[in-house]
Parts: sequence; C-alpha cells; structure tokens
Amino acid sequence: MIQQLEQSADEPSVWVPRALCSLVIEVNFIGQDPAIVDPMETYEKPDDRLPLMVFGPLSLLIAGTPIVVDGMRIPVPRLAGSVLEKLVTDRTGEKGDRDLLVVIGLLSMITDADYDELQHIYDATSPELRHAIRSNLAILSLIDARPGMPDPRPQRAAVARLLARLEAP
Amino acid sequence: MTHAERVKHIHARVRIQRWEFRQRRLAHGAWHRFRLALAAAREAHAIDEPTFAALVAEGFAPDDRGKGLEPARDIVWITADRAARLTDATPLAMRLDAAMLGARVLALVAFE
Repeated sequence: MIQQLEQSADEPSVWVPRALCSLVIEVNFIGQDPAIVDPMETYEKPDDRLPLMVFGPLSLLIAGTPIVVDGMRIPVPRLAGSVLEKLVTDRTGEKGDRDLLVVIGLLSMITDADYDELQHIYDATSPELRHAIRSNLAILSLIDARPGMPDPRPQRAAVARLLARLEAP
Repeated sequence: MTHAERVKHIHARVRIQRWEFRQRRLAHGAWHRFRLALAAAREAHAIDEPTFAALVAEGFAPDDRGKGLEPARDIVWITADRAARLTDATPLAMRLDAAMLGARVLALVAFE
C-alpha cells in the first residue's frame, strides 16, 4: 500500500508526494534481478500499477547492516558492491560526473575488508565490465570537484591504489 | 522519457562501451591508456623535450601510454625529489583541462 504519494506523470516508476505532504520525499522504484548483472540486460518490467526499470548492475549490490533513523530500519547496501555498481553504470555529462563522485564518498569510508570484497566481486565480472570499472576510476581521478559533492582530490591516492590493485595480474 | 526509451538509451550506451572495450589496445583506447597513466600520478609537470631526454638519460622510466594520442605525448616517471629540482617546468593540476591536454611532454610523479 503506497500512502501519501502519487505516481509521477513524467515517469511511472517515480512516486511523488501529494501536494500537502511536504515531509515526504519522492520515491523511485527500481527492480533488481539476481539473474542479470550486465547493463545490456537491463529491461522494463511492465505493470499496470507499478512498472519498473530492472537494472542489471543492481545485482552487484549486497544487503548490508540496516541503519536505524528515528526507529525506522533502512536497508543499505554493503560498500564494495555499491562502489562497483556506480562504476559499471555508464553515465554522461554533468550528472554523470556528480553520480561518479558518489564513489569518492564511498571510498572515504572503505576498509581493507571492503577492498577484499570489492576485488572478489570484480574478479567475477566480465572483462567488459572490469574495463568499464577501471575506465570510470581513471575518469573519476581526473574530474573536478563539484559544489555539494565529495571532493575527489584528497581521494586520488585511494583511487590510484584501487586501480593498481585491480590491474594487478 | 518512457521506460522503453530508457532501456533503448542504456543499451545504446552499452554498445558504445563494448566498442570502447574492443578498442582498448587500438586507436580509441589511447585516451583510456593516457587517463590510466594520469590517474596513477600524484603530480604532473609540463616539461620540454630536452628535459625529457635528460630525465630518461638519468635513468627515469619513459611511459608509452601517451604515444597513441595525436599529437603524441611523451611521458616520463620521476621521483618527487627530482620533480622538486626541475627547472622550466610547469606544474599541472591533475585534471583533463586545457593545460594538461596542451602539454606535449609530461613528467609524472607516482603515488607512493
């Protein structure tokens, strides 16, 4: 049951607050299909009530420990899969750079155990996806800071270490 | 944009990614290789060709990952100590801006 929200006229999988519900944020419903991981396998799941985009790279996400905010448990993904999902999802333009900068924020929190997990997931992906991950890391290392986004410059060393690790034979 | 249009758009972008992957050792892959070299560098300095030749003669390692570009870029990896003693070198911000792309010869300092 979806309450206090109504379907966006612009995008059927996005539900926006009804006019008077200013404390409610919009919700973007997306689908995860564990049978696919490649972006090329992304598909539309039609439904009269809630049609969804099912994105292949979302299968890289693994459920982490939920966080609790005001007594509400909010599911969050583990860091390693989140980093890789951001890096395999092709993005373009200003929005693409800003999306990629999210990886910088994630790398600032990542632990050695997360790096090991990231390597494990990376090794299981296709050569094309591994190339996309390395390519986007290199781009990330060279893009400018954006207002309101994590600054990539202090994390360039972490990006370089990760690239070196992923490129190691 | 409808979902069908988004799927079509994503698939088109993936086809381009696939082409870039096939090009990784060919002409278009030159940018990928050049970016990888820069991503491994803590510092970059624009230098001239005689300085490049001198640094290579001193034993610093050249890197051919700028050779696929047109015009080709000469890259040499040097230490931070040696970078501090460069004369007539211009330090560059580590981003793909006009100054970086305009530099024909680069001395790079790797992260530790």
